[in-house]
Amino acid sequence: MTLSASDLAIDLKTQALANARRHGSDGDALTDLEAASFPERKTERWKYTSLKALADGHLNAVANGEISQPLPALSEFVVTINNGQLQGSSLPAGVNLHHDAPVVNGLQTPFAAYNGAVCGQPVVLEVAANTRIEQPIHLQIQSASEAPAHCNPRVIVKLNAGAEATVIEHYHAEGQALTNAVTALITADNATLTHYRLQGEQANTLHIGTLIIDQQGVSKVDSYQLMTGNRLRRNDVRALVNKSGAELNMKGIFVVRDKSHVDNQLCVEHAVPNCQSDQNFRGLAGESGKAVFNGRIHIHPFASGTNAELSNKNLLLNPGAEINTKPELEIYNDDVKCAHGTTVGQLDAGQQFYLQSRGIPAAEAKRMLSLGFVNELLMALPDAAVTEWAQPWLEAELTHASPAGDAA
Amino acid sequence: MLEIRDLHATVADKPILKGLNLTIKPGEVHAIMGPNGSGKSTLANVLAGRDNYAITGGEALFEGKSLAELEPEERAQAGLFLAFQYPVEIPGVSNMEFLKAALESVRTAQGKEEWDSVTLLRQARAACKQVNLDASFLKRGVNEGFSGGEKKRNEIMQMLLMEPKLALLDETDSGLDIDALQTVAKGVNSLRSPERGIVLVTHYQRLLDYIVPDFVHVLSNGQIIKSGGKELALELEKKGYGWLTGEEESA
Amino acid sequence: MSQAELDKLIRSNYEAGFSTTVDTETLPPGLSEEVIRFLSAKKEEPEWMLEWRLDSYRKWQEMPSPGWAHLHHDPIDFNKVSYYSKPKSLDDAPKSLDEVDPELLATYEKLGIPLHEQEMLAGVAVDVVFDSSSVFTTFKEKLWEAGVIFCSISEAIQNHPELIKKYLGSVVPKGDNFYAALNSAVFSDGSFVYIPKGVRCPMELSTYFRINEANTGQFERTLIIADEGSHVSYLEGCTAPQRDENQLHAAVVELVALPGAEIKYSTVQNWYPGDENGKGGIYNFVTKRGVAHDNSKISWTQVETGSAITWKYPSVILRGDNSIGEFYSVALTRHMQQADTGTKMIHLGKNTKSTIISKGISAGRSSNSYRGLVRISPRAENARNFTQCDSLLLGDTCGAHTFPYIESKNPSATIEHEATTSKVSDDQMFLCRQRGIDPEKAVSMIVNGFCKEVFKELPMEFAVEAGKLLEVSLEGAVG
Repeated sequence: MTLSASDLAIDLKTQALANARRHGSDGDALTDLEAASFPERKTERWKYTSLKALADGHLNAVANGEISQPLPALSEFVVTINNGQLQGSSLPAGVNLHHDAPVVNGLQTPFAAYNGAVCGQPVVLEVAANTRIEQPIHLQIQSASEAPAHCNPRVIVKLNAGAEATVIEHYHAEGQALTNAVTALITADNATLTHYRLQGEQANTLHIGTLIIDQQGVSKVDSYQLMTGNRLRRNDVRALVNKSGAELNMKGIFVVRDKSHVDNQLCVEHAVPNCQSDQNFRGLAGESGKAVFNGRIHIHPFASGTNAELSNKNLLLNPGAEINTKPELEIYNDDVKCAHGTTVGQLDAGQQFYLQSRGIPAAEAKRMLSLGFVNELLMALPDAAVTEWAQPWLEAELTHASPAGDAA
Repeated sequence: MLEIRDLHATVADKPILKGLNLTIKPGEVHAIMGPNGSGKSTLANVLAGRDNYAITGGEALFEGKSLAELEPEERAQAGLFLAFQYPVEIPGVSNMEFLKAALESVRTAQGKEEWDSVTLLRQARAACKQVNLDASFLKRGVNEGFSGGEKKRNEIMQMLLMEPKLALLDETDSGLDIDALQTVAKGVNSLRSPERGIVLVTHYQRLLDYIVPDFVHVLSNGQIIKSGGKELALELEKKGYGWLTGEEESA
Repeated sequence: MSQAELDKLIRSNYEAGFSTTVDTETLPPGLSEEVIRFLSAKKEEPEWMLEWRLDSYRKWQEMPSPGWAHLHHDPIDFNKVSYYSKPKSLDDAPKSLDEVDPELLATYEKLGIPLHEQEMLAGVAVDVVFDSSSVFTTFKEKLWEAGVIFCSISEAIQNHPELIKKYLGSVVPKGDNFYAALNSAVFSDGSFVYIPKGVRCPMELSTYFRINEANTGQFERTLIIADEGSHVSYLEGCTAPQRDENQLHAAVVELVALPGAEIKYSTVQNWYPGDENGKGGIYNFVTKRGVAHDNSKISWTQVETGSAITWKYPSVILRGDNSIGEFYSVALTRHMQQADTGTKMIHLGKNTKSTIISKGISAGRSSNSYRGLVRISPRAENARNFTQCDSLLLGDTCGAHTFPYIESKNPSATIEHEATTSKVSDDQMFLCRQRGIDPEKAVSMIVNGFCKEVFKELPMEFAVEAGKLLEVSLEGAVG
């Protein structure tokens, strides 16, 4: 039976509300969910992403499968969340794990509202003021379910004034699990946060995630978002650059292949004067993969002296693959420097020929060049442990995504 | 023609000039030297009327008229020309179009006959030639994509056409190689005349080998602390600015 | 530049804001099947045309008005608009200029469009649409000799039904969108052009649109067919009187470039923009689209300074292999104007190429959005697109937005998109003023420079006019 998109939207909302009530949710969380509307066919922000996979009934069940291939630890400090529940943690001095979650600003999607209504125990990692945490904190967020089911991890990382830390937000999922995640990064004055978001869940899983970066203080946040596609991946990333002098850098790589799907919706909100943001995302689509990128820079009326840039370069590797990109500017102040650039293209024929003329087979040349396209970002990652893990992962994905022997 | 008395000026409300006195008569070439941050460029910009550069005390009279009361374009119409240290780019507005608008305004104000486009083009080409700038630069956007040296030569080219009464050259020598420096100097020298005053703002003595000044002034902390003839520049070259600023302290 | 200077610069008058007293026959406001029947009967249209209109009307009734644009306005009451207004003196179509109402001629003289052939710029033939009716087409005979048909669309319905039946609605179907459906139901008049195979149209063709009557909607329909290997350059200009009420303009323009043909369509749009408090002005909802067949080229150039609201996306469907689509646009908004404008380039054929250059200038409390779509279909091998979107903000109370949709399904396609935002810098102003140029002239020079890449695409006379228009739009009380 096929549902129309609007019927599905109604179904999802009914199910979400029923789950929330059963969960005992009330107050603002329930009100927010009641007010939320799930996307329909004409919903602009969901133009290229259909939720029809959810018609399989992911919201009807809670994921509780065994994680058969758990993630390796990328640091001596690890927090593990399985199927939305905190499993265990080992943390350095200066980092306090608790469940007393602050209100997360800037949430907008119905899925984030749903997460808020049913997540139960959010994991809050609070870094003490003026503390520098040398080693990264590896957040392993894993889910598994053979049948369609979902879980709702919610993580809040809070850096108090003068704190400095590196957090690796790392997702893994098996079977047909839907991970409906909410992550918030909150930084106070003089905080420095390095953040990784690694998303490499298995092919039949789904991920709908919201990431909020809330720069409440004059702080610096570097966020690296690396992902491959799965049956449905949707990331809503919203950065609130909220204090003059704050600096935000987001870099990312997305690779889709098979029939996988990635939809990144980024929005950087500049609400105060003299802040800086830079976004640089690279996408590759091969086989029948579909990638969506929407990068919005929103300069509010008082945000004079803003310097904001966005670059999104994409490679389409073969017929059947698809890339939809939309860099957006919404500007209400004249005293700003804003620019964006986007390209969609193919591997450089000259470079390919150069490699081939040195005896490298066409398919290998393509693979090398595709890898080169992402390596520029990959090699610049400040933590070697992440690069070491991510490189073979993306390389394998790219080897798959480059059509072997096709010298088109 | 220029009479500066006890001039105080601020840049974005910060005091920079603190009681500067200077008199320039027609036909004279003055060099204003001084260490970085002494207020040399401020002086040039205050005289030309840049935004945020405010006169807070004293006066600057150009041919008896107070400059403070004139808009920047009125100062230009009165015959004051500033060759910028960092000429800005104006994309899409061709040099020619720009010169036409400028010359129309200034020549009309000065009661000179208007140049028709043929004359203008001829004059502009000649001026380009004089500063070794290819005539194709006339078609390009104002300073758009010009190299540092080309921008400076473009300034001198404009100056030749506009025939100012008083020319202020703000660090025109900075960033120029020796050939370009000679070209620029030749251009400036060709404008030397008994009716015209020239002010060279510079950090180095080098330019003064080619444009020999009648007077040299040393600016420090917003005031002229020493004035002399061309030999003062040579002395500065040898001893640096330290001996002067030091002398000022002990005096 | 200081806010005070800017304010002065953007406060200026609308020079085409006078109205003309002409005895007219105007239908009372309201829309129904009866109105459409009346309109069609008035024009003595054949039955098939009436049916076409009624079918469009029924489609329109089912459609919601679009809400996705970055525009804010009260809902439009389509029953408060009059759908037909015609100067009485045109009842018997004039055979020569001597028979045209002198008041009308005077109106066009005031607008700088002299209709007397001998006074006209050599080589420009003009069709003039006053409210709902075509006034007169000049140079008819000379065009006829070349085989070019240039007449009002009403005449074309009478005299060239085979072409109308084949092409009307072939590019913009009746139910394409809300405003196109409305236009299809009630279009009053407009221009029709047919260039035969291999013919290079001997002169520029031009239409001037003028809304005069209060509470009148203007729904013109333009259809241009360039047969194989032909070439035509078409200019469109628009003005309206200054009125406190909003007036509706919902036009449809269809271009058909058959194999090897080239159509260049230039618009200078200066509808009344409303006053500085947002009172009055034209609501401009326009659907413009062309289909480019093999080896053909369609080029849209627009300079838009008018209208309270602009909703307009001149587009090209690159159906044929090796076809080319171009869009060059300058959109200036000031006061409370809102513009949501851009283009769609739909690449279907192989080796298709499109170029988009958009320059948005916002001033006052206006809002200026570029909205574009570049779509590469799976079979559009080697398609190329280049897009450059630049915004210039004058002052800090306006908005400039960019919404470019880029969709690619072909790996051999190359798409490049760039956007920048800038302002007229204090340094630029100071350099100009130091050289003796007054601030008003300096701003207008800098803005013109910003628009240069687009102006150079306009035919000579139009480029001059466009430059002046910008200057006038930016001009303030001198002081």
